[in-house]
Formats: sequence, C-alpha cells, structure tokens
Amino acid sequence: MEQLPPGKLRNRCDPETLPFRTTAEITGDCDLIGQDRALDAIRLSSRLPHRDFNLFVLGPSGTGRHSAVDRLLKEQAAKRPVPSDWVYVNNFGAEHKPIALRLPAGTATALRSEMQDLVDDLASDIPALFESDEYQSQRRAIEQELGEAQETAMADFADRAKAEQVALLRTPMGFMLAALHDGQIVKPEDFQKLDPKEQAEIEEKIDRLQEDLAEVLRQAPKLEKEHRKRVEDLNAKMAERAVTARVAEVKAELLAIEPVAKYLEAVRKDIIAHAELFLIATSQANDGPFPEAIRRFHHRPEFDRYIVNVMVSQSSDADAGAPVETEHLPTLDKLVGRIEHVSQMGSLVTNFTMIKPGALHRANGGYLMLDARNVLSEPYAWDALKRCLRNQSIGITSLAERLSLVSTTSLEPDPIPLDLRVVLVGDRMLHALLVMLDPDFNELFKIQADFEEAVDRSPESMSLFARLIGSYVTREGLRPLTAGAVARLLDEATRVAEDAAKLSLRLRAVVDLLREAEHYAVGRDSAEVEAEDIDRAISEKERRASRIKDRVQEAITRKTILIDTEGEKPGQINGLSVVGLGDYRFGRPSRITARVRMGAGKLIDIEREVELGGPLHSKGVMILSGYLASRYALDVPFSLHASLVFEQSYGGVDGDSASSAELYALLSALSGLPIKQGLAVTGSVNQSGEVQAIGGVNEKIEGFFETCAARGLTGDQGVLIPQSNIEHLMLRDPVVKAVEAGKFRIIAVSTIDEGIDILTGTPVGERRKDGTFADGTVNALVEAKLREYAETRRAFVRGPQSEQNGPKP
Amino acid sequence: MTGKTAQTWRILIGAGSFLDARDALVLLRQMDGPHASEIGGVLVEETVFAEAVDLPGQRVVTAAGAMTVVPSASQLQRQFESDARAFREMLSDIAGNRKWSFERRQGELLSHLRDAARGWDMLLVGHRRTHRLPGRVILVAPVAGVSDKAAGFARDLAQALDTSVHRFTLSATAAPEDAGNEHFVTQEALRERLDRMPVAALVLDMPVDGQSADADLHALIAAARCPVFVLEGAGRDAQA
Repeated sequence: MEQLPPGKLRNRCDPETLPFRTTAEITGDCDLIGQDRALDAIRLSSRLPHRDFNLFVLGPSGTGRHSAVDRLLKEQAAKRPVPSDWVYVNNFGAEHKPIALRLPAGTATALRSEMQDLVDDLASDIPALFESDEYQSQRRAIEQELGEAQETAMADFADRAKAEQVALLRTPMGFMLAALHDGQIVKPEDFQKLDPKEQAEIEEKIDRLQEDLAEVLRQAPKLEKEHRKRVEDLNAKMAERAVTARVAEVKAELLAIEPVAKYLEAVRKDIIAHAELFLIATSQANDGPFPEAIRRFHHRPEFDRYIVNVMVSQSSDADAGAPVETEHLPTLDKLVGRIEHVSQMGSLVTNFTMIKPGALHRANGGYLMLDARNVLSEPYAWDALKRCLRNQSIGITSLAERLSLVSTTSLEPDPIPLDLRVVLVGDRMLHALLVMLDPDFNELFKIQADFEEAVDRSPESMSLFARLIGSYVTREGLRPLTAGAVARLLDEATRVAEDAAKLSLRLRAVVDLLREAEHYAVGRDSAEVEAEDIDRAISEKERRASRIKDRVQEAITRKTILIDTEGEKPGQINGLSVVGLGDYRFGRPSRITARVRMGAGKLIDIEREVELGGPLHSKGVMILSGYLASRYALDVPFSLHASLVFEQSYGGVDGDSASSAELYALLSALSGLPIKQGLAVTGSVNQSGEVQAIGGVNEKIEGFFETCAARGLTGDQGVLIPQSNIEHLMLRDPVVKAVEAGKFRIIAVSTIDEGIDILTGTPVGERRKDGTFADGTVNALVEAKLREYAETRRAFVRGPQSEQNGPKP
Repeated sequence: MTGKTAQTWRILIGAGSFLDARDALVLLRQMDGPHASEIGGVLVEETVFAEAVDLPGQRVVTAAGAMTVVPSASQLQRQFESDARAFREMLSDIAGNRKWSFERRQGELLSHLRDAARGWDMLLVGHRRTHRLPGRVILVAPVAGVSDKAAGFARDLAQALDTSVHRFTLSATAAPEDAGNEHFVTQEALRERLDRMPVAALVLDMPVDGQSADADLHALIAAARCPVFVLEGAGRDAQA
C-alpha cells in the first residue's frame, strides 16, 4: 500500500531540458519517430523484386502510416525504371478480343496521334484515288469487258435464233421461244398442219435453242461474280497503294517497335479491305460548317476500329521513376478497370475503345496503396485484387457479367501482365482477421509493417518528438511553439499514450491540438504558440466533448445518481468506470452493493442475470467466488448466497476493472465492517487476491475527483488504484494540486488485503499457524460469517432428520 | 460538279409484264422522283403469249437460266393479274404525292404503248435486264445535235446510275466521232453495236415515227435489252 506523492501522479517535461527556446530554432526535417520496425518493413517490401512480397501496413489510425508509406514508396519509385505504356487496339480478326500492346514509356499517346493522323489523311487520299481517272477507267474497262461478254452471248443467241426463224418472247414468267413463218409466230393450228418432219425439226431447234438460252442466262451470275471480284481486287489494289504509302510515313521510331509494326500491318490490311469506309465518310462529309481540309475524320464512329485506346501512358522522361498510386475508392471497376457500354437501338453494345483503365493499370510497374477496409468493403474488389496478384495479370470482368445480371455483348481483352507492389493500410483487427480467415492473404502479403502506438519517453525520444513538432510547424507554416508549449504537447502525448513512460505516436491527435492552439495564439496576437495556448486547446477540446460527462456529474451532485462521498456503509463501495465517446473518454463513479446470506455457495451477478453484464465482467465476478471459496472456512462447505449489483446502471457493464471493488463490497458485507464512502476503487483481482492493472486509470481518478470536488473536498477522499497502474498516471493539474494540498489521495494497493484494510480501517489479519485469524480482523470476521452460514446450513439440513428419528430414550 | 436539271416530265411507263416494268420503275426511283411531275403506267397483255403456250415442246426459260413448264392460259391470266397489282403498287409507291394513273390493255405491246403515250412527255418502255452488270446510258440523237432537255435528262440518269452517257448518232452521211460519241450510217449498224454492249438505259432523242416506227423501236429495244426512254414521237400525236 502506498499513498502516492504528487510527483508520481504525472510526468512533467521541463521546458528547460529542451534544447531550444522556440521551434523556429529547430532545423532538419522529421515526420516520424519510433517506427523503425515498420519503416524497415516498408523499405524491404518496396525493394524486393520478387512477387507476392506485398505489404500490409497495420496500426492505429493517426500514426502517420499513410504519409510514411507514401514517402518511402516515392523514394524507392524514383529509383526504379519507368514502366511501359499499355494500349488496347482492335483485334481485326476477332473484335471481341482486343489486343493489348506493350509500348516503351511515352509512346502510347504518340501512337494514338499517329493513328488519328493516318485516318484523317487516308480519308482524303483514298477517295481522291477512287475518283481519279485512272481508277474510273480501269473500273469501266472491267465493266465493259464483262458486260460485253454477256451482251455478246445474248446477241449471238439472238442471231442464231433469228437465223433459225425463231422468235424470243418475254413473258411474265420468263423467256419463251416460238417458231416464225414469214416473220409471224407459227400458231398451234398452223403447226399441226405441218408435216411431221417439219414439226420435228421445229421442236428440235426450239428445244436446242431453249437449252442455249438457258446456258447464256446462267452465265450472267458467273460474270457478275467475276465482276465483283475484279472490281474488289482493283479497289484493294488502289487502296493498298494509298494505304501502304501512308503507313510507310509513320514515324520511324514507332515502326521500330515490333508490336507497333505488327499492328500497323494489320491496320494496313484492314483499311485495304474496308476502303469503302473512307469513301462513305467522305461522301457524307460535305454537310457541316467546317471545310473538309480541317475536318477530323478520326472522330467519326466508323473509324473507331483504328483508335488506339491508351490504358496507361508514362512519362517519356527516363528519370520519372515508377508510379505510386493511391486509390481512395477501390471499387471493382476502379481497381481493375471496366468495360463500358452504350445503348444502341435498345441494346447495350461495347467495343475495345470503351475499355477504361483501373488503378492496377496506372500503378503497374510501381506501387499501389489502398485502404484495406475500403477494399474489403467493396463487392468483389478484394477477390479481383487477389486474382490479379496471383495471376500477375490484369483481367477485366464486370460485376454485372460476373453475376450474370445482364446478357449483352462483352469483350475478352488480352490480360495485361502485372508487375506491382500493393500496399494495404489497415488496422490490426483487420490484419488478424485476414490472417485467420483468408488463406490467400499470407501467400500474397508476405510482409507486414506494424506501426507502434507509443514510444518510450526518454530524453532522446522527447527531443525527436520536439523536432517532429518543429518540422510540422515549419512545413505547415504555423507560428513557432515555445519550449513550454512543446513540453506541454509532450505531456499530452504521454497522457494520450495512457502511460507516464511513453509518448503516443498517434500524431494526428497531437497536430490537431497544435493547430487549435496556434489558432488561439493568433487570436491573442502572439508571435509564438505558448503553453497556455496548448492548455486552452486541451481544455476547449474537453469542454466541447464533455456535455454528457457534465450531465452525469450534475446528476450525481443533485443525488439523482446516488453516490456517497462521505461516511461509512457496509456492503457498499464506489466503483469507477470509463465511458468512451469516440476519442473522448471520461470516468464516473458507480455505486456497487453486495448483499449476503446463507445459501448453497452461489454468487449472483445481477448484471449478468439481466444480461447487462458483459463476459469480462461476469468472469471477474466468478473469480470473486473462487477467491472466497479458496480463502475462508476451507473445512466447511461454501454456504454463501450473495448478490452484487452496479446500482443505477442501465446501459450495460463490461470489463473486470470493478472486480476488486465488488470483492471489497462482499468482504464488507460478510464482515459487517462499513466501507469509507470517501474512497473509490478500481482494479481487477485474481483468485489469489492480487490487484491487477486496469485501463483508463487517469479518467477514473479524475471522474471521482470531480464528483468529490463538486461536493467539497474533505481530505479523506481518494481513489484506490492497482500498484501496477502507478506508471500509467498522467493526471490533470487540478487532481495533482488537490493531492499536493492534501485534499485528495491516490492510494496504490497490490492486494485485496491492503485495500480492505484501508477501506474499513480495520486490520485485515493474517492467518496464524493454528489456521485462524486474529479476532476482530476483517478476515476473522469474514471467515466466522462463512462458517456460521455453513453451520446454519448443516443444522438446517439435519433438522428434519433429527425430528424423524426422534430422541433416543 | 454538274447539278440536276430543273426539267420535269410527264412519264408513261409501259411494259408487257411486271418483270419488264420493274427495271424501268427502279430507274425512275433511282432518279429520285423530281424528274417526273406525273407518271402513268400501262400493262399490255400481249395476246401472242396465249398462242405460243399451246405450241408443243414449249418451256419457259427463267432469268436465272432455269427451264420450267409453260403456264396454262388460266395460269397466264392469273400471272397478268398479279403483275398488274405489283405494277400498280410500285407505281403508286414511286409517285408518292404526285399524280399517277394506271391502265391495262391487251394486244400488241408497242402499238398500244404508242397509242397510250399520246399527251405524255416521255414513254419509258420496260425491258428486263438479263444481268446486273453496270452499263452506260446510251443517248441516241440526231446528227444535228441533241436537245438540251434530252442531254440533261440523260446526264441526270447517268448520274443517278453512277455511270456515263454515251451518244449514238445516226445519219446516212458521215459525222465526226469522239470518245463519247459514235456515229452510224444505218439502223442495222447501230443496233448491232447496241446489241453487243452493256447498256443501263437507252434514251431516244430522235423521231420514231413513220411506217416502220413500231418495227424500228421494237428492234432497238430488243438490241438494247434494257429500259428505253422515248422522248420524241412517243405517241401517235407526234406522227407527221
């Protein structure tokens, strides 16, 4: 047991120990301290060339994870080569399977422009060629030749027919042949009058000429087919001349790229085969306000097939380094890209120009930073990311297609090879869940960078922390902080760390405070931010967040919530709890009462019975039962029936930090010794009666202090805390000052015996060699009561048997 | 660039069957309508068919070169009915909001057409084409020179068909020739040339009257094997 002196209640940084008067004197940049382990991990991941060494950065928010990762990745990216450009081009042989082309950095946009120029030029060149006299005369020569061939055949037939006195008749169903006599068609009755030989001759020649005519007419489709083919060949020959000449004019540096040369050859063949597109485009181009010379034909939809769809274009500067991308909204589409559709005649259609890149494309060859929670909360994004990493390629599949929600035309673009380091930033819980539940996670994210929440408070770390603050002030253009203000910030960082020997590395909270303090300094027209500005920022922040705390304290002061801070009562004690509202926490006292009677060894936790107690609280209460049963009256059955309750608690209780208070209340109830109500208790207990450390010790002490202060400090009031929590104390000034003035006490205990001694003012008593406790001690009274319950119970059990057997005569 | 002429015509289309009329109507449609202020149609059911079908060993040779049995008289009549409906519908479709008329006649084709063409500006005699190969527009004109309206019409027609105009002149005396102009001293020579060249349409800008008018016109149509526009002396009224 130790009543703590004021010096142990908080750790103060002496501004005199800081090697500067204001932060303006601090030189050098510093944006992170105490995170060497995490930073080494980030560096390792960024430098390892092997696959799957992706990184998971874990730790609490506000520790500078994002900025540190971003800075280190950019440093490493600057040393890496600029990755390739990627484009999608039309697959002229299978348009639903667009082709991905890897191009040297900086050439994708050049190729796109080149193709636009090529289309624009050919849209002028090809029609001009087809309008030329050369083409027209060649085409007409073909038409003439084949037309004359057919006409000549018909003419020859007509001549033969005429020579054989046969007329060609055009009937509604087709041609008919009829014999002539003196230029007139031989009528059936005249035919019958002819001798059989003449009839036979006529029939024979009609029959023969019909066959001839049929043969002549059957030639027509063949000649038409040949005509089409020869005109197509001529068109192709003419187009080829223009296209080949124009393709040859493509910049030599582009032609030297093998995939580009291959693509241009495919383009050349396709344009030759589809030369009519250029003729149609030109024939329709006369409408519109712009002269043809400045018309951009490549914008026309029929030339989409020659578009170069740039997926990613890097800088042509060889020193530009690899990309570092951050995707703040990592939906499936934004991650792996998407294939858009447009509505045409009520159908959804698409083509390779509607393939849009995602973050993986942009970051390919470099680094991609993602928020783990965001990735996991977007449908199918995590799955797609893993698949791409596993396959080392980016395959685009839309969600609608995957879920078979729509049936429409879609594409199967070439997957683009992926060489990427993914950095996920998340909290520890998420990391633990992924490790536990996703077997792929450990395979794909082999490195973790675990950010510390706090660093040891030492002169070196405080100096570094001060430098970090100075760097931030300089970087943000804030007014400099005096050494006093920095010292105050350091103390606040220690309080945030909930450990007097640590400095919190949740830098966001510190810089938020700093910025608010700077605002107050500006308000009072001070050139420097001073300690009083920091104090004001702290108190204003607390004031803004403390409405509920004030209402609770008001309710206690007005005795709506019953808390005694004076006098003594058996079986009643002030426990302490912490209420958390976002990043603001405050402590409040709660009355805990215990009631006992003879029973069958049952300890009732009323909170648990009504399902207001959490599992940790229930565990703590069960430990009490174990403690009592194993400590007292070991030779008789444990015959206690006790109940414990947090009075006026309506919102649930969890944690075992009140278990020592509950045990004190039980011991008081059993011993009949009253507990001093000016004291409040926090600490958990084990079955051996040792008091163990709890969280939120500062807020709990301050919560009870405020209750007592509101009613007037008596000097007898105070808080019992676990011995092991002493080093976590970082109490606010009012508490420390009250302790200095002897108006409030902070007492550290390590065992229940120490605590009950203080709370009852009665010696606890050690078990003597004869197995008993000294009379009048707490333990003696407790044991006596438990033995009494056991005896009473035994007598109760024997009573009816004695009556049945009757007294012996 | 050559623009279309502003001249409009009252055109009568005549044919012995829908097969013959259809190619002529297609030409009109390709010319985009404005050339005709009014169109009329005459389907002449030639009686000679009825006589020919009863001859033994007769077969019909279709345009595709297939041979089928000859129709009976009743089948032929039904075919005429069907042709008349198709002719009328296509004519009305092409006419749109313009004035149009249709009539059926029986007898010899050209005789009836020339008779029906009285009062019309132009007679278009339908003739089925035996193939779909492109051909030129042939303008048959007097040596003295082609009329402006005939030249304009032939040019518009050629433009609609994406081809060129080739001019034939006919007179007993020699006349100069050039790439677009051929001269013939006899009808037979002209027909023989016409017989062996692919022609998209024939435009006659010379009188077809006199005693042998029908025979000459018939021979020209038979040689051209394409729709024929008769601009001068189409009707009996034009006869001297």
